[in-house]
Amino acid sequence: MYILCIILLCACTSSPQRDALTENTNGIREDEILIGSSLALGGHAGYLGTQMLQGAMSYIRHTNDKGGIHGRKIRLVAMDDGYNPTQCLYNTQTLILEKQVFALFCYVGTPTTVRIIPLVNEAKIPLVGMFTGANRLRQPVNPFLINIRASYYQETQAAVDLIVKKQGLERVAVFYQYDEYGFDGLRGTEIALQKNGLIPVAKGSYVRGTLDVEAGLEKIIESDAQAVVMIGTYDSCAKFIILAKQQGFNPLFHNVSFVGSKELARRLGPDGEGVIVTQVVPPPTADPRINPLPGVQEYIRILRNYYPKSKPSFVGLEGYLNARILTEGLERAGKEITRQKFIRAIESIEQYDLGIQNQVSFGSGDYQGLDQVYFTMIKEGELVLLP
Amino acid sequence: MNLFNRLTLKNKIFVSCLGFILLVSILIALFTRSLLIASLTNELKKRGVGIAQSIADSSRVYILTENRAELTALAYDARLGNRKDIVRYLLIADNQGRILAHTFTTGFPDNIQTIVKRQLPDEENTLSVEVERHSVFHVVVPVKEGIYTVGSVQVGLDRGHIERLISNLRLVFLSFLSMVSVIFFFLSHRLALHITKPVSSLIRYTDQITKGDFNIRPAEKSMETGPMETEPSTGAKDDEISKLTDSFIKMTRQLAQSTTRLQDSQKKYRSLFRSGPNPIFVVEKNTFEILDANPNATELFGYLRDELIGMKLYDLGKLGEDEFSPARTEGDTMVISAKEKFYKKDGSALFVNIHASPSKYREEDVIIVATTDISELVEKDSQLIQASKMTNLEKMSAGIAHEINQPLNAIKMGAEYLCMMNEKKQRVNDTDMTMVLTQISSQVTRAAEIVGRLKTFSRKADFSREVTNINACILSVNKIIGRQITLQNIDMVLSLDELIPPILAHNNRMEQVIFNLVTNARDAINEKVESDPGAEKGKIKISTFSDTTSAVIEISDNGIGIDPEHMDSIFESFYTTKEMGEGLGLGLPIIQGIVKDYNGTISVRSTPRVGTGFRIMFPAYHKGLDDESISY
Repeated sequence: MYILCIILLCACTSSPQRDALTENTNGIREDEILIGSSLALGGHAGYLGTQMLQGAMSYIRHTNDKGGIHGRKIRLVAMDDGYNPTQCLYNTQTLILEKQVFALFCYVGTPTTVRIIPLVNEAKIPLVGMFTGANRLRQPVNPFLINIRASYYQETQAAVDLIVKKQGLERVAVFYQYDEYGFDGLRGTEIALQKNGLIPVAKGSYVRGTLDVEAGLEKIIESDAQAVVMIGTYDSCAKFIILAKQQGFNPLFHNVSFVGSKELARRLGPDGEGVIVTQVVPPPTADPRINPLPGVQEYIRILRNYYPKSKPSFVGLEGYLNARILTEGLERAGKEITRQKFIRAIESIEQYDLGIQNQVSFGSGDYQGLDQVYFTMIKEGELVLLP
Repeated sequence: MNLFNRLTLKNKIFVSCLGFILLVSILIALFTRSLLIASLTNELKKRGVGIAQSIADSSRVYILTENRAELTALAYDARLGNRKDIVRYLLIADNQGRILAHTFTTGFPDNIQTIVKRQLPDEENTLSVEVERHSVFHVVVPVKEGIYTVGSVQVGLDRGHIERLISNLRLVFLSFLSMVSVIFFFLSHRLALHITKPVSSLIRYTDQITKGDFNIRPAEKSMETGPMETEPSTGAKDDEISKLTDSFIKMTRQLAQSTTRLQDSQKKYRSLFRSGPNPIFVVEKNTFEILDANPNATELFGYLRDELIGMKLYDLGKLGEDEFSPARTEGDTMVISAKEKFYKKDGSALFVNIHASPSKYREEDVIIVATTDISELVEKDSQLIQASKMTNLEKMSAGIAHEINQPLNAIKMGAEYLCMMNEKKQRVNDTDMTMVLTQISSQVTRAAEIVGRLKTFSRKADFSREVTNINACILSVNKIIGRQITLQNIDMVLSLDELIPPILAHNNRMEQVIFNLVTNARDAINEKVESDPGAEKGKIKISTFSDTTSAVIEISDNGIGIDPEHMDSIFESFYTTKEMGEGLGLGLPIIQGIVKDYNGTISVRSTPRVGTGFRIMFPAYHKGLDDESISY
């Protein structure tokens, strides 16, 4: 009987998997390494893309000028997707298939980046540094998605810690944008509150691209919240804060980095006094009064060197930091670089000091570089790093 | 098949069950497999066409505007989620066969361009191709604007997906199958055991019974209770097997009991055989060889048992071989011979009655021959008969004396004449002398004859059978009393059949019978004459005749007859109508006894005052007169 079973098994067994993982060396040339990037260079989000690209390019050009990595120059092929996921997808396909880039780099935005995850998985191409804290790029853990900045979860977690533990406030409300980004923040806040045995006293939302914040505001005012965690964009959040203050509702307003803190501060004007914004990178100011961080100083110096017209910004600093991790990874991967070796090299980066107070650490199974956030407060229209 | 036949019942059931299940499973597996592959392939194609059509609908506008980004996005959308397993690739081409968008992320297959070019974009089509060493169904769905084709959506469906599905199913099915097989393995094992365990215990019992020792009751007991104890554990009390076991056990019990009874009765019979008062022989059916004899037999015949065994029954006595007919049915006991003369070892004779019954003895057909020693009885009979004979003679003595006196007177007269002549000194002439001497001689002869007959008659005869002619007996009796009867004014008429067959009897006895009957007849006539002096002259008629199987004697008279009320009693002993002192009442019973001894019958018919007739029938002896061995 068992012989029969075995025969049956043999007869039915399918041919073994023929996909052998061949080491891919696309984009590695004799004298250059091709890196691809699809990001918004025009359109409403063009500011983000260009800022980030300039930040990154400043360091890449700096590296190339110093002789490149193992004799190879880094060449960044950037394509404009106008923050359009479809275009981003097409661009990515083109980059992988036609441009034959070694790695993808500096993508901007949650919907765009999420859209290309299948391609990344299929092509087994590393993607380094995304301008988004979306949880979907971090869970489940994927070695091809190398995140540098802290996630929205981490930002909201830090925000709740600040509100509940440092300020001792318990009545926390959430105001969020009704989309993937807002939900991410909402979930992060709720998880963080849960850890402290709390639930949000009220939740208000608005639809992306609109300024219909009144309904949400009303709910939150009714709840008599002591603090409001806000996951939105600068225009809506600014309107929310201004309207709240007009109605005499004056809790602790806490925004996350994606809000666009400079613009928020500009729009709020005097109303912005005391509003807290979490940042994933330190404020890129070289203000001697507040003893700037060495990494930030270096960024400002290099940026000024290669893009004298460009002003330092949070986004630019993030691009710059992304580039530093990228080059560090390429450097560590060695001369006979492959995508696998590159990922191993990234994993080997541990307690890496970029001069920005917080250290970068990766590891096997850990593709989240920075885990800490920076608290900034709007004081007299300026963002001041909280100690 | 031979191998299968050689298996035990248990293994047969086991192997059959298992084989059947395996066969059915394999058939189901094969059937399901073919059905599954066909239906899954079909399903896959349908889904592929469905996906392609939905993409085709969405992509129309982008094909017209050649918006590659949107088309690429659409193409990738087609592979979202679990569709990725089915859709190996998807590409959108324009009506020229140029690829506008595709989902090849890792590299462009070499042959895809030619495959796309080869398609007629106008019609829906499915073909089987090999792309990147993967076997795929290449589905082409045209994209139409109005009636014209603007492009096509072409989907590569991974056939490996079906195989993976099937292999998953196969795994599930196989594990199910093995589970079923394992369950059946145990189930059929149990079933086989369940059926065969009682059967094998039955076989064990049978073996034990065959070896057979019912004396060992405790062992038997434990054997019987054995299955009873195990049965509740097997959980079936009422199935056929256990019923069979039950009835088998009952049967065994019955068998044991009947065997015991049989043994008891054997013992009983053996003790009867050993201690019975009569000699019993076990005789081989065909050869009449003695196989066994009881102690009484050895005692009676004076032989040792070992001497008897091996002898023929005929060696002990004279027996008609045909008396033991093999046709006689078993259990049919009968007296086959009465008053047979046997001889002891020392040569002395004895009389026995023989009862025989066919039987079985140590697997052989035998005849059980029981003998009864009747020598004493025969002797008593003889004495009685003699006594009765003497009584008759006594009664006849006057007549007999007269009979003898007559020749004596004649002799005396002759002698006186001769004396007178001698005194006268007269010479007797020669003629007279011759006549007187001749007369004296003949009268002496006559007297001597009468005396001789009397002597013969009165002699005590023992019991034996001889070939006897009845006529001779009648004539002999007539000689003794014929003249006397005639003198009493009674006619004696003899009507004898000259061709009468001989019978096995004894002269003396037969003479006694006839003598007795004749004197009875004479008495009856005299009685009648006394009561009625005017009656006709008395007449005694003795006739003999024969039919094929018997010889018959008829003795009739015209005497007083017998009252019907006495008719039933005439053969009873000591019954008499005569006056005291005239008769003992033993005449007729003795006659009947003698007749019966020689296998004859006696009957009587009588009419009062008219006459009485006795009829005696004997079986004819047909062996022929030359068989002298029978007379001794």
